Amino acid sequence: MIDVKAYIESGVLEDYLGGNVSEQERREVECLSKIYPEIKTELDQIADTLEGLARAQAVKPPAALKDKIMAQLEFEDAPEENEQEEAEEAPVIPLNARPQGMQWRWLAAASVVGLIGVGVYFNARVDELSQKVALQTTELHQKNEWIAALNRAENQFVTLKGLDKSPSSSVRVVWNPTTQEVALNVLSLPQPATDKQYQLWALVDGKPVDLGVFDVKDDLQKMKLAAKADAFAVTLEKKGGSPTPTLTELYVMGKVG
Amino acid sequence: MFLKNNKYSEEELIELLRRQDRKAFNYLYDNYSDAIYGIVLKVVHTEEVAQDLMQDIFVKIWKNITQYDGSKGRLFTWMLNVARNSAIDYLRIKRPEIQDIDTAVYLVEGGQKAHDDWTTPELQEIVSRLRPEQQKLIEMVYWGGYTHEETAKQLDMPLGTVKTRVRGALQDLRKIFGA
Repeated sequence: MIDVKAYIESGVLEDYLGGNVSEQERREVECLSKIYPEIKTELDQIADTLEGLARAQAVKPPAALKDKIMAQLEFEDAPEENEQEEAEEAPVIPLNARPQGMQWRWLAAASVVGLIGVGVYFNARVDELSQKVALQTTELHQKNEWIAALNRAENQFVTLKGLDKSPSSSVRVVWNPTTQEVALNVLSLPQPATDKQYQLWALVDGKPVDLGVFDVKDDLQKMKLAAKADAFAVTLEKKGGSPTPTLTELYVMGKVG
Repeated sequence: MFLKNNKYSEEELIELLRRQDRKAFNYLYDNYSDAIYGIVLKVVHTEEVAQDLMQDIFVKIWKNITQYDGSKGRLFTWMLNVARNSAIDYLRIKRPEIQDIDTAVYLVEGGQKAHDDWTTPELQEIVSRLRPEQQKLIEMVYWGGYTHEETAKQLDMPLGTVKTRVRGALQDLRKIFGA
């Protein structure tokens, strides 16, 4: 049993958070904070203080920095890719394995195969990465255009609210009456069956005008142009869309202005 | 922009980051980059260098998030350590003259004048409630990368006094933040 109060007052917790402790002290703090809730609480409070201080002296980095950083990271937008990567990994041969008899030949052969595998794998990775960079650059240009488009003063923002079919659904539409551009952002919509797609409509003098189909994703999606619109609505249609809306599948709607 | 304004708990955020989720990284960056940048600037004093380091730091955070152990402390503390270590490594490796403590203090002091421009009114308010020697200690120990021994030597103070005062300053700050 240690004297918890004395331990806290020794200042070792402050040292720990300042990165100013030996390896042994570090383990000690980590171990004791698991055993004694008082130490854990104290540690968290000092950490909060430091965070508060850091936030008080926060400085906003230039906006371009984020894009630069994002371009260096590999995101897992498609989850199946990860599994594939693991499957492609070269076999690992323990360094301290002591093969007996003829076994080493097999191991040597296996490691050569492994090395070739690694080479092939890396080449494939390099190709994949350069494609990704190209893709991201295009994406970035598009985004910049988007931002410019979204900042125009004449833009109309319409929030389409969920109807009886799906009250919690909601979609945001941006419409520029001058350029006629329409974009939407899914705030909340149930994921449709694979053979279905949502379709956006503009209502002009009571008549629906097709503005295209879209998927449920977080990105802003560009739709067809709309010269006029009194309201916007979204219905669930067969994949690829329908010439007229299925009114029993009306999900969200919102009036312009 | 009008994208969804997601809020995550720390656990959710870490889980999503481990799955290399783009939105989670966006959130992490938007919520923490200001604080981290402020600290990096305090250590290196040059915006250009600080921005290069920010890239290293956030890439490191991204790559090493699997090593973060929530039972050992807050996410911010961990990020702060990544940031501080990167900034200090930069100073020690790229600018070996910093290893000389007198030069280092000279640079810190020079830098302090330079980064007065970056100080927010909120910080001025908080810092003004600390005694000057407390301010100096916190700056050296928490953002400047000095060990307590180096701080003691530089300020010509017994090591025990440095430790007590650093702790005292943090206690005062804690009261100011109302923690």
